[in-house]
Amino acid sequence: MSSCHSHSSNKKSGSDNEEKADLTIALAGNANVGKSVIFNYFTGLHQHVGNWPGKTVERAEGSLHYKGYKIDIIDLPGIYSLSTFSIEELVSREYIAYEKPDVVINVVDACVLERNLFFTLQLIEMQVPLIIAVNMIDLAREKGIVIDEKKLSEILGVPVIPTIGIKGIGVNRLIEEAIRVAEGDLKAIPKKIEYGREIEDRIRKLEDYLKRIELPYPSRFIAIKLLEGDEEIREEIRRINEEIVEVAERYSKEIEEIHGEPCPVVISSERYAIASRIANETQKITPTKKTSLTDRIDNLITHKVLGYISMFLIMFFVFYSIFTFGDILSRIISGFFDALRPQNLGGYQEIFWEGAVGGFVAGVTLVLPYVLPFYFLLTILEDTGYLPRVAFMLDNLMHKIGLHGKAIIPMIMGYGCNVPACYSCRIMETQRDRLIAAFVITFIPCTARIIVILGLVATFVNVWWAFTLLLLDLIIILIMGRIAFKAIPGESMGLIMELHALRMPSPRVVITQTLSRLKTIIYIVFPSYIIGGVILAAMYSFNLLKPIETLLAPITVDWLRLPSIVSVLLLFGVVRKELVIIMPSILFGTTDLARIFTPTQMIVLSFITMIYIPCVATFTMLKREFGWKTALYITIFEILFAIALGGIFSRVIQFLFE
Amino acid sequence: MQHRNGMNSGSDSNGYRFRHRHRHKRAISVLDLKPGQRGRIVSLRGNQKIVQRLADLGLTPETTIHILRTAPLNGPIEIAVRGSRLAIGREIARNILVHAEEE
Repeated sequence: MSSCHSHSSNKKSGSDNEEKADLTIALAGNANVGKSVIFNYFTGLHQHVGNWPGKTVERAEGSLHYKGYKIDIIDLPGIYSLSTFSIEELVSREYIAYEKPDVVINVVDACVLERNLFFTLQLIEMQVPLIIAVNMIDLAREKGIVIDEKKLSEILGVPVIPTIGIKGIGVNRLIEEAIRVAEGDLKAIPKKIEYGREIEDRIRKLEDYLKRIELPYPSRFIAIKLLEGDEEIREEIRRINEEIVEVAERYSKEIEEIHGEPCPVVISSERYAIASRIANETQKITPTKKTSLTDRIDNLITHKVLGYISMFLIMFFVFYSIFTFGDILSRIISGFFDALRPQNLGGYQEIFWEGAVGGFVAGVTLVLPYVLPFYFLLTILEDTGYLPRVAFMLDNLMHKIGLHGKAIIPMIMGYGCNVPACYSCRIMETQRDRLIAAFVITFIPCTARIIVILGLVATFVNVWWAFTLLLLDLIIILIMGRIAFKAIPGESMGLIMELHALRMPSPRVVITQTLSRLKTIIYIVFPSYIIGGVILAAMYSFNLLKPIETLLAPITVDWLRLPSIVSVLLLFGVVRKELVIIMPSILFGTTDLARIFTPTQMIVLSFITMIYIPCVATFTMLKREFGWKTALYITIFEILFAIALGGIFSRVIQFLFE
Repeated sequence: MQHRNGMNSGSDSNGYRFRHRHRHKRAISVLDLKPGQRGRIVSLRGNQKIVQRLADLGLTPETTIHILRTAPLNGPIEIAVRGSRLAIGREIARNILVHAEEE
């Protein structure tokens, strides 16, 4: 029974025990076809999301026990092609070629069959055992699309199963067919799909040259990729035999001359011609004429006036409800913890409590009432398909700031917490766009900083100054974007984004996504809070704070015109920004901060807190996504920038208002 | 697919740019089409990586595309191609050359 696939790779599996898997399945397909929903259906809680080794691409794997079989499943990234356009594509094709999963389940969106088949054809070129899941057939039916899966199966030579992922329909059948394929009971090697004569001839000749080469990819795949000018494959072959690469280049030019288009475009065109032919033979479309409700909503949100008004209203609603309810919830939770805390500790013990345990408590009282609901609402918006429309409406504006249109989404997330926001920069294709966005995001005031502004300025000065600070922050963001755009090397890419039909959010998807974002926060933020808190507490206990205060007094007192204690507060703020206003109460034993700071000082302090340094958690994320050097450069820049600007700002206020 | 006879072709140093005189006779940028109009792709200019990306998403020569809308403030355009909808930034769209199709 389990003897068939002793080569089934188990090396990097995310299985939660060390049993060898009976079979390995990879899920592949375009983005947004419901692949992850199916993956979650298979694996439930038995999944692990990490990174591909050395790369900033998510690797989701899990395992499943089904009728006595242990099955490892890997969810490959959503991609449109198997070229070198993105790391996601590279990682996926390398996985399939080197790790040789027993079965690849290609999840296809029934509503966009032709486009999805383009990718299917590339999987076919990799000659892997394939099963096709035609997903979202219910949505397709509503659009008047009916797919003949038997015919499709006949044409491609592989099993084709209709599914409705979010309802779990057809999903079990996928597993069963996969098992049958792995056991050898079912044929799933796809039929060869042929291009035009002039291309096939050259492919055949290249395959002859490639006969003696041992690479994990099928020779037909290599031949086609060489004709397409694929850089990675070219390099690998060049190392073995330069002549083949030259011959392939010559063939590419010949094809170019015949068709009048670059060879890779010719091949893509032919693939699409084939995909189109297959789609026409296997689907029947009876167009439904009504301008559906979703079309009307779409027209509203992309309208030149109403679109922006509705965007403003939606964002306002989100932020307002989060901060109102968050405040209430936060008080309740804090109250609960306060009741637990030992009273009248004073001195060392209070600092320690505030540091270590306080770190944990702060994580809870910040994350639970504010960040979690914020991400919940945002994920709902995301699942409806609204956010790409926002990118659509703001792309040009973002461009002027030096940002990619899609960057608006992580930027909005940054108001909750910068950490998952920086992580979400992965939705952009180039590293440069991701870095510019992440850099700008560090200037976006997260919940902690907003609390500082509200708790200090709005409470003790007035609301208008609080608004002014947030406005100033926006201006800084605009400027920083342009600077980053000019300063950071590399290539950017314009907007090319698929827009899916607006739809009702699925509770299952929203909850899974929100929890996933929460996980990012918990695994990075909480440890930072707790460890940082302990370090600070230790520094206090060993009397390291006073020397620091004295050392930095020339900056804090002379230049920034703030009380010298501020250097200590800002140090605490590196761990958690809210500590900047919490610590004074502890150190001076009063919640009336007006006794410690003048109004001007409060404004300047809040301003500096907003922009002076990425907190430890954010730094950790920056380091992970962009490397130590970049994270350090950003940090140092921000410290110097905040100090410089803080001093100037202080004098400007004093000049204008005193 | 039909074979085309060899034509005068020249490529540019920063990517693929082919000039085939009769094909480009009435070719306009897709930006010149209005929402509701259809166009047939003639060729794609510009950076090789972007051209390939567009081709992989279905924007290949001889393909019919349908302009759905343009974002306000000189923003991206939204087109329908092969049953899917794509938002494409202005600069990239500028380099998609089409023949307008009569209604």
